[in-house]
Formats: sequence, structure tokens, C-alpha cells
Amino acid sequence: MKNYLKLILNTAIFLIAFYSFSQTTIKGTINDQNNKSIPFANVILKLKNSNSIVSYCYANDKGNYSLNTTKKGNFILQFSSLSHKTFSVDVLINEDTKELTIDAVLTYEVKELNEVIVQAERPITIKKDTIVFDVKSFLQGNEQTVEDLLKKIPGLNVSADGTIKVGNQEIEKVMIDGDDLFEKGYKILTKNMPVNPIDKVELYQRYSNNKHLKGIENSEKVALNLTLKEDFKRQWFGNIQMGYGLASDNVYEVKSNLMNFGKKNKYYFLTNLNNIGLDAIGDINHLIRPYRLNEPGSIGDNQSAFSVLGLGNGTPNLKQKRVNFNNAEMLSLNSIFTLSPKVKIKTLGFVNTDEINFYRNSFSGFLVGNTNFENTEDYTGKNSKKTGFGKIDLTYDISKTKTIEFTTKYNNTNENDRSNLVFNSNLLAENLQTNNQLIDQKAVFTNKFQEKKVLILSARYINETTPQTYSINQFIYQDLFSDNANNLSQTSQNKMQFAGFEAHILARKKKGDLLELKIGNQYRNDVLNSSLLLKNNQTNINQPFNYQNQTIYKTNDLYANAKYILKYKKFSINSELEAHQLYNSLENFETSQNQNPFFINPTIGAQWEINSKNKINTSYSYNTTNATILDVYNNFINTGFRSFSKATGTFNQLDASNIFLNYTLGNWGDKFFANTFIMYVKNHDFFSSNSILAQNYSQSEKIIIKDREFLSLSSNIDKYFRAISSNLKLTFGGSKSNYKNIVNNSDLREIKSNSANYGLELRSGFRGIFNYHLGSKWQYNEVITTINNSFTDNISFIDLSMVFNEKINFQIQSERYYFGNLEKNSNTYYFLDFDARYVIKQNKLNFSISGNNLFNTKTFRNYSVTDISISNTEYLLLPRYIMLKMEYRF
Amino acid sequence: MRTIFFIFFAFYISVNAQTLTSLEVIYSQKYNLKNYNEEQYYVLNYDDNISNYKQIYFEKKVGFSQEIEDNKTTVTINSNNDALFFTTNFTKKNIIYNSVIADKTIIIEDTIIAFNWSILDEFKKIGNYNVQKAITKFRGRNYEAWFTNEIPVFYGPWKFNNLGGLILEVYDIDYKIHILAKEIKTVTENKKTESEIKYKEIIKINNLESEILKIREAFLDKINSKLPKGAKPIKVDKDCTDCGEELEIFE
Repeated sequence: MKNYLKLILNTAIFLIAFYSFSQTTIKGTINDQNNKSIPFANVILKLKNSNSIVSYCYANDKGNYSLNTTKKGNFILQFSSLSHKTFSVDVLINEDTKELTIDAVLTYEVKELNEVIVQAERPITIKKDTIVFDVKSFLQGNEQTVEDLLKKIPGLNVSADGTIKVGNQEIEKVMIDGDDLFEKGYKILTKNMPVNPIDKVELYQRYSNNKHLKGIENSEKVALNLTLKEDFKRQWFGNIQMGYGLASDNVYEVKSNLMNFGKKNKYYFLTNLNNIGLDAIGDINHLIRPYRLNEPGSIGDNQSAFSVLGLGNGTPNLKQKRVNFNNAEMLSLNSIFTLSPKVKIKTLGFVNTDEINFYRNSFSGFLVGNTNFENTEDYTGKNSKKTGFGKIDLTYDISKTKTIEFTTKYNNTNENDRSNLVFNSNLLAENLQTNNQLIDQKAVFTNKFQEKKVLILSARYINETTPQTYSINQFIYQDLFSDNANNLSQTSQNKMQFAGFEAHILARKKKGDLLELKIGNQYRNDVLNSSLLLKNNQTNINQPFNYQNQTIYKTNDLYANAKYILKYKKFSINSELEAHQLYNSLENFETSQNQNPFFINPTIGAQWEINSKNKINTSYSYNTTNATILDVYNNFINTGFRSFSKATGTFNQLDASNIFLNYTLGNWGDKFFANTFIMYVKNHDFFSSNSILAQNYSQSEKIIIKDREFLSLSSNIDKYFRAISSNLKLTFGGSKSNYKNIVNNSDLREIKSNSANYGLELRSGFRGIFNYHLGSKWQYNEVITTINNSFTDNISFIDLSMVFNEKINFQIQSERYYFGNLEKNSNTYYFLDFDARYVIKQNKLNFSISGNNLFNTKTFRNYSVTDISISNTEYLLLPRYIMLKMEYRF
Repeated sequence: MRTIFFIFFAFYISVNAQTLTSLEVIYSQKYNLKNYNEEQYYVLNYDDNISNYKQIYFEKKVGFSQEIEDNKTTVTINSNNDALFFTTNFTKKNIIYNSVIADKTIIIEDTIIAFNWSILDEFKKIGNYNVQKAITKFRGRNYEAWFTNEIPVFYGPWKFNNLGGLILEVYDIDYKIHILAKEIKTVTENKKTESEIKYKEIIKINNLESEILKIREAFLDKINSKLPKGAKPIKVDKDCTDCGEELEIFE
């Protein structure tokens, strides 16, 4: 029995051993020489003569370890810890080895690891302010256009309408191999260009349009550059959008973009034809006049010739598609040629023809002192315009730090305005010919003469003429002229020449402060010749002397400007001083006069970012401005069919002070966001008018009056309500101003005007198919002279949107206008538009139907109050139409 | 004399033994997910039972490699400035980490994952280190890691840990995430990892998916209500092809 038991026991032991014979446990303790345990040391079992790890474990916090393996053979057991020398022992594990106890003693040793691991290929490389993205590592295969690619690049946000932002900052432009054809109109490119030719995307931070100003001028701008693959074969691509009226007469729209980019030459063509009120040139306005406010080298950007006369072609303040009876055709060709690595030519040209019709009926009541009368006007006008425009930019990089840029611009616009006007039952026909010719040449030389210092020399010459010829087939000015005339004409010549030179130094200081110094001279020569002719049929009978002008006005402005921006933590102060020495000369007919005034314009401002939520921005400036040609001629000019104006006939400089304050609480994305803006302007002297008003004419003469004030405040608050998933926006604002003038030989009359507006909007952010956006805004106006006139208008809207799925969506927009002072039957107007879209192939082909003015509101009446009159005007509106549109990308 | 020498020697040893070497490892971590495509930098440090893996920004100028030192670029892609972190507590067996969902930062508790690493006989060099390959499967993706036993620590980047040495590179086989050591530095002062912070609201890993959806939808509601007039609302489409994908796929 005893033996039997022994046998069972033996068998059991054998079985246990058998079952566990495949597993060997090695355990032990790891200590240092001081007999202190080493916690968390690494124990590795390696094959002998190999690096291959068989098993590993870590000691616990008391230095004990336990490691299992099923392998047999010769091994090395290696103990290591970061602060100790590695220790190894040979271990033999055979079939019989079940458990091994191996203790280790490790010697202290300081290991210095200061390893930099550089990896060869990185999809994102960062150099200074440029981040380069290697396109192939971001592609997922379903991208078609550049926009699809940009959506996948970290840090870039592409919104639903194609606006590209880095953080909250919209990008300045999208260049191709460093060339820019589109400026802010980059969406045309990103929405159409195929993705395959693109090699890398570069994001430029703190971007400067002038590359040498990089890191010197203050810039928050960001821009993108797309580099093309070396072997990329040029191909044409673009899109076309066509629409035609369904069951409505002759309503159409055609828009097309076509482009081709090669390493050397790049081409971009576009065309726009429509008669639905869209401004065809609007698409390329940013190319003709790149908007670069306050940029170095922008000398002369604010110079243009004036024209004196315009017909009554006004439109009410409604969307263009309601009021613009146009028929526009535009074709634009743009290209960039790289002649050598240092020389580049950029050309831009367009031709545009447009025919716009105007329809308006107005009734005005004049009430001034003892004079009062009423005028009615039934006006139809037609403006035909032909424009040709060309611009050439040549850039030559003399060296790494020096660049010279030449720009030449030419514009020719021929305008012909005709009108038929029923004026108090007189039928008048007006005709106005305007021809604008512009030649503009600019050269800018940039030299980065030191690491943080740049000198910019710019010179510009502009020559612009806008001659006008006006005639009216009736004579209604018997009260002004005793002649036996039956029609009238006026020719005017408006010539302007500008020549300017400027040297500008920007120096960035070590602490980040920026110093700017500018010195320059600008010369402008204006010629205003006008001649009013009284006629009897074709015969000239009189040229009234007070209605002739021969004015030559020359101003030479020698100026120096110093600007310093001082930064301290979250606070920055900018101060600016501008000194002007003017040399003015004025010739009216044979008499001439000279004047050499000197003045200084100071500005001081401060920005303070109190914390991430509170920001304050404020500034004060004192400005003296020199008079323009329109302020200095000395006889009357006919400026509209019943108005004649006259300037001061002498030199003027006007002084004004400006203060503004802006306070922002929160950020746009927060649940609560508020922004307030306050501005106060005091004109120490200003141009007002001394006018004679009569039924058939008004004669107004510029006079200088002291002290005019203007105060305005505007504020908006955004608050998001989670419970209803909607954002409430409140806006309110107001302004107050006062000035003085003289009417019909009165004393100086004081005119006060007050306005206030308040409104609210509510917009949902529902997850479902349906969303709404509604709002209402009230505008209160008050004009106080001897009498007091006031009224309140209201505009409300409701927009509904239904997005059924990615392929089908539907929007409907409605508007209501209410005019407080119009009669009941004509004081409220409703509009309804809709737009439905069906996507056949994403980014390739889609169809849409849009309906405009579905209530077919035919007229629109406006009410306005001035210090001399109350008027209400009725305009004709574009009738209802429904248009079917197709958009195709190729 | 001998005893004095011995005491001195023992003293010397014990003083020096206090200054245990600790590491600071800087990793780049690149996500290549649909709609989440960014490269981040993290620093890993540890203290016995706790390891801390925390995001760093360029502008904070941690003495990294020369390549980055020159670039004090501020690419703060998160407008929300809370740095991301993963704190692994080997005693409590949890990983506390944060995540920015839309405009909200949430704190998540994950249970420590016992990675079942298979060590393969494949070697390569990363920098000057010999690294060996190990593979594992984790939440729907297959990962490959390269570790070096020349640096004998079990801490690792992101949620990874417990390999036979420091992990210098790890990625899933589709490269949806790719973590790579950029710089390894010894710190003689044993920098204590940040003491545990008490969080108001910790989301357990099991509830994560439903919480994320809730936050995303609430955020879009808010944004949609602020769009300009006429703009179409943005929507979350649950089975759209263009929507984001997640790194960790929960069953």
C-alpha cells in the first residue's frame, strides 16, 4: 500500500514535471554593490552568439524578477539598468531545468545618452516660417482638386465655400511655383486645378508681398505655394457654368475659367456673360487693383482723376440681382512668363462691355425757409460701357537681396449715357459721353542692405484724363439765364498727372520693435476746364462767364514720416509723425496764386491684449488734408441736369481729429462673444455749402465752416443657446452728427442728424435636414433743422435650408422691407428666392435651379430725408425668373 | 585606515546611487487619419510607477535637435492650448489622458493594456541604436514596434509599454499613426513626474464613443448657428466617406 502510494506520488510528480518541463522559470534578485535592490531593472534572455531576444522581463520595485521561457539551449542572461553597468551570465537550459535562481549584482555607472535621431524622409519639413508638406504622403486616392488635397493637410481649414484659413487667418493667396495669378480670388484655382501635378504644398507664415520685407515688416499674413512636379506635362483644365431662363424671356449666365500651368509659363483665361445683374468685372477686381493697404511701395495708389458730371443713375440699396438691368460680357486673359530664373513677366488684360438700364420715378418736396416746391422726375437711363485694360509686371532679381519691379497699366473706358427724363411734365433728353484714359507706370527697387533693414525706393507716374461732353435738349434755366436758349451743353476736361518718388526704410530692432522712416515728394497737376454753352437749336448763343472754368492746380508735397512700434509683453504702442511741406499753385484763367504751408500729422495708438478674452485697441490722430481740384475751381459747373456747383476758388487745408476705441470680449467660436466700436471725429473746419434752391435748378457753392462733430457707436453680441441649438446675435448702434450750411441766403443753419439701429438674428444649428436663419433690423433716422423729420424703417428676413443628402439640397430666402414714412399701400415689400441643387458627380457635374423674385415684385419705393428735402423714389426691379444652371469641371 | 577607506567608499557609492539616471525622450507622433492629419511632438519621462507622455510645442523651445531649434515656428494647430498628455500609472493600472473633441477637452481613463508583444528576429538601426521588431494587435489595428535593449526601460510612447527596451519607433501597418523617437536625453536630476491631478469628470474608455458623438454634435449645432447669412449648415453624416476615422476601433 505504501509502495502503491509512493508510485502514485512519483507518477504525479513525474506528470507535473512532464507538463511543466517545457517551461523554465528563472528568478532572482538584483542588487547593487551596496546590497540595495535595484528596482525596474531589465532582464533579457538572449540566444548565445546572437542578438535575438528570447524572453524578457523587468524587476519589480523590490528588485525581484521572474522570467519564463520554453526554449532550451545556451543562453545569455543579461541584466541592465540605466544607472548601472550591464551584467551578463551564461545560462544553460536543458530538459531538466525547471527553475533557476540567479541573483545579480550590478555596478553603478552613469550613462550619458544625448542622442539625436534624425530620420531621413519626413512628409513635413519646417524651415523658419515655411512649412513644406510632401503631397504624396497626404493623398488618400479620392482627391480630385487642389481643394480636396488642402483639406487633408494638417492645420489648414477649408470651409464649405472654399475659403482657406490657417487658424482663424484667411490666406492671402495661392501661388504656383511662386507665381501668383489670382491674389485673393484663389478659389478659382483651388476649386478647379487637378491634384496630380502638385509635388509639394508650402505654407508661408508671416508672409510679405515683397519678399525682402519678410521678417521685417509686421505681418500676420499667410500664403500658400504649390510646387509642380518636374516632369509634369502641361494640361488645360477649368470649369464652365451655364444657365438659361425657364419660361422667362432671355435670361442667361455663362461663366468659364480655363487655365494651364507649366514650369515656365502659366495661363489663366476667364469669361463671364450675364444679364442677371452680376458684375462681370467683380471677379477680377482684386487683380486690377490688388488691395494692399499701407504696404511699402504703394505710392500713388490713391491718385485718380475726378469726373464732374453724372446722370441720375442711382439704384436702391438692394441686392444687385434685383436692381441691375445689365447685359455684361467680359473676357480676361492672364499669363506669367519666366524668361530666366531672374526675370519674370506677368500680363493681365481684359475687355468688358456692359449695358445697364435704369428706371426710376421720384417725388421730392423741398421745404426751406419760405421757399417750398415739389418736383417729380420720371427717369429712364441707359449706360453703355466698353473697357479695355492691360497691365504688365516685370520683376528682375538683381541679386539675392535686390529686386526691381516695373508695372505698366493702361485703361481705356468709353461710356455713353442717355436718359429720358420727364421733369414736372417737361420731357428732357440728356446725353453724356465720358472717356477715361489711364497710363500708369511704377518702378519699385528693394534693397535689403542689412539682415533686418530694408530700403525701398519707389517712383510712379500716372497720367489720366476723363473728358466729358454733356448735352440736354431742353432749357429750363430761364431763371438763371435771360438768354433765348432752348438747349444746353457742357464740355469738360479733367486731366491729372502725378509723379511721385519715395524712399522708405524699415528696420526691425532686436526686441521686436519696428522703426519706419519715409521721405518722399509727390507732385500732382490737375487741369479742369469746363465750358457751358447755351444754345438755340444748333447755334451757340452764350457762354456765361460764371459757368466757365480754366483751372490749373499744382500741388507739390514734400513729406517725411517716422513711425515706431514699441512692444512690451501683451502691450504695444504705435506712434507716427508725418511732416508735410506743400507748394501749391493755382491758376484760374489768368490769375494765379501760390501758397507754401507746412503741417504735421501725428498719430498715436495702443493695443492691449489683457488676456485671451479681452482685447482693447485704441488710437488718436490729428490730420491736416490739402484741398483737391474739386475744392479749388472758382466758377460753376453743371454736375447734373438741375444742379450747378462751384468750389472755393482758393487754397484750403482742413484739420480734423479722430479718436477710436475697440473692445472685444471673447473669441468668435466661444458661446459668448461681444465687440464694441466707438469713433469720434471732430472736423475743426470742413467744406459745407451755400446754396440757392429753386424749382428748376440748384446752385451750390463750397464754403468753409468751423467745427463739425460725428460720433458713432456700434456693438454686437453673439450668444449661443445650447437648449435650442441656436445662436442669437444682437446688434445695436447709433450715430450723431451736426454741421451747418446756408440755403437761400439764410443765416448759418445748424443741422443735426441722429440715427440708431438695433436688430437681432437667430440661427439654428440643427443636425437634421432642416435649418433656419431669421432676423430683423430697425433703422431710425432723424434730421433736425428748423423742422424735425424722423422715420423708422425695418428689414426682416427668413432663410430656410433643407439638405436632404450630399446630392440634393434646397434653400429658400425671403425678405421684407418696411418703410415707416410711406403710404400704407406702398410701404411694404416682399421678396422670395430659392435655389435647388442636384449633384450628379461630386466636383464634376451638377445641376441647379434658381428662382429669383418669385413674388414678382415689380417696383420698390424708398424714402429719404435730408436737411432740404423729403423724397420718395420708386425703382423698377428685375422681374421674376427661373433659371436652370449646369456646372461642369474639366 | 582600511575601515576609513571602506566607510568613505560606501558613502561615495550611496551618494552616487541616489542620482539614478532617468530619461527624457522626445517623440514625433504623426496621425494620418482622414480629417486628422497632423504631426505632434511629445516628451516622455517617468518616475518609477508612473510615466508621463506629454505634448510639447515648438515655441516652448525644449532643447531639442538643432533642426527644430532653429524653427521657433508657432504652429499651434490646436486653438485650444491644452497640451495633450498620456499618464500611465503602473500601480493603479490605468492610463489617464486627454483629448480635444471639437471645442472641448475631455479626460479619459483607459485600463492599462497588457500588450501581448511577439518579438521577431528582425533588426535594424535607428540612429546609433540596434533595434528589434515586435508586433502586436491592439484595438483593431496591427502594430509594429522597434525597441532597443540598449536602453532598458519598459515605458513607452502613447499607450504602449512593456517591451524589452525603449520603443524608438512604432506604427500600425497602415501608418495611421507613426511614432518616432527624435531625441533621447539623460536627466540626472530625477524629475518627478507631475503629481496626480484630480479631474472633475473622467470618461471611462467604455463610454468614450458615445461621449464623443455627443460633444461633436453639440459643437456643430453651435457653429451652424453662427454661419453667415445664406451659408449651408455643416452636418455630421454617420456613414459618409469623407468623415474622420478613429485610430482605436472598439468592438
